[in-house]
Amino acid sequence: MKRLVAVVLAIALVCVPVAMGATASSSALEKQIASTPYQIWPAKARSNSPDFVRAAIKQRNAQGDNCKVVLGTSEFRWVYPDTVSSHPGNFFANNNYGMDTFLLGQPYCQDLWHAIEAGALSEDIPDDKVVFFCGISWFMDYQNPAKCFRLSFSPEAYADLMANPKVSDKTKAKIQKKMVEYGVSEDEVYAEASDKTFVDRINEGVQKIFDTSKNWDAVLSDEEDDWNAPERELNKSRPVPEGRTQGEAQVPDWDAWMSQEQAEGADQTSSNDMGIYNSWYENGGYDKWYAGREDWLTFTDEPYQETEFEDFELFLDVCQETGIQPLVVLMPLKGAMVDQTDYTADVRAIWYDRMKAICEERGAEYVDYSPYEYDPYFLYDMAHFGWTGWVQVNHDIYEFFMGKDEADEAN
Amino acid sequence: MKRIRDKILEVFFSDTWLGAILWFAAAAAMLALVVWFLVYSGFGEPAMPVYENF
Repeated sequence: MKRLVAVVLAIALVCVPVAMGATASSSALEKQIASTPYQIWPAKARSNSPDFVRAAIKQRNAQGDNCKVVLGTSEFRWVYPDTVSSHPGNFFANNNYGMDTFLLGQPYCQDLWHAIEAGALSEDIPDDKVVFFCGISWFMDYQNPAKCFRLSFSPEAYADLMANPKVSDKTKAKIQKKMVEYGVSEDEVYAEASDKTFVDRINEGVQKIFDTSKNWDAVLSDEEDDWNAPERELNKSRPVPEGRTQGEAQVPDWDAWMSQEQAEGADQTSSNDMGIYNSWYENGGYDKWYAGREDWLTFTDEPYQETEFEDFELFLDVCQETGIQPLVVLMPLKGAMVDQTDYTADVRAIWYDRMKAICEERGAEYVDYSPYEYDPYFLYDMAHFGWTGWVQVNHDIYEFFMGKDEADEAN
Repeated sequence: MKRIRDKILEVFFSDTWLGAILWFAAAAAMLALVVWFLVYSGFGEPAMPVYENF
């Protein structure tokens, strides 16, 4: 009996620090970011780390941010030195409207990345609701969804997805099949294959406990290779902006914002009449785009790739299985530019109609911004939200998370 | 030496608290070795993922 007690105590002695190591490591990250959990647009190392995203949401909300998850890609970029003051990084962060946005996703993150991300973070998404910005260019014939996935793939998010019991085995298997089709090695995808030995399993089980205590240099760094210096400065880690929580929460004055942004859009696109932002237009960006447009904005047989529609359906399936309610934002293109390519209004309508049908079939809420394709200040270039565009988007985001404003309903 | 070894073995297999302490020490040492091997030594490192070149 005495010997049994002795052995049990020895096991307990070893297990307690191992268990504490597991909990301490995630709270260690939370502690490290506690004073500066906020960035306008978390860079790739951060957005590909579910542990960082969880810690940042937690710490931002501990500072009163009340941030909500918005999934998307390059439209989150803060254009510099041009001014788009309706960008959510200013609109929600520097005004007290009672909520903020956590802008999650980077260039190349298309539907499959977002499906995996939703599955990885489902238990940590505030209100069990996400806004999902969906881009037509992901589906176009020129696009390479497989390459985009390999460029954006997060092994940590994938592991967290696979560990989520709410996502069905059927959906996980479909995601795995897509990952292999897109070029991720089978060894990586099917890591839980049953040909592992018992020792391998213990090995990886214990290793996993300590994996999160590896150094967090990448997610803590404010250096991001593809930003220019002024943008990096804007995107530095900082506390939740003061404006976000000052005074009483107000309902945004949507009409005032729209008027302001109409004027700002006119000013920032004064060099042309298509509503293209000045620094790109004046530096020859539009001319280069125009000269090269037929090389890529063209298609041979089908304008859109079936694989991306399948991935979009997987995203909706993951949301449905994990109890996440999405608001799908069907992002428009700038009609004045894209009508000069094979993707005319009729061809674009095929995409909008198909996406709406998929959403309706699955009972997913969506907003269709195709009516704004010819609004000059809705987009600042071919595809990215601009002055009045962000006001509209912010309004839909606000209503989705905060409920419809009573005054609005009366109008 | 032989007397010390015999004494230790006698205590180890006896039903005394000193014997239990020796068991505790032996178990802790073996478990520590296992944890060191799997976690800290790098011998238990899972293989890095491999991606196709693109």
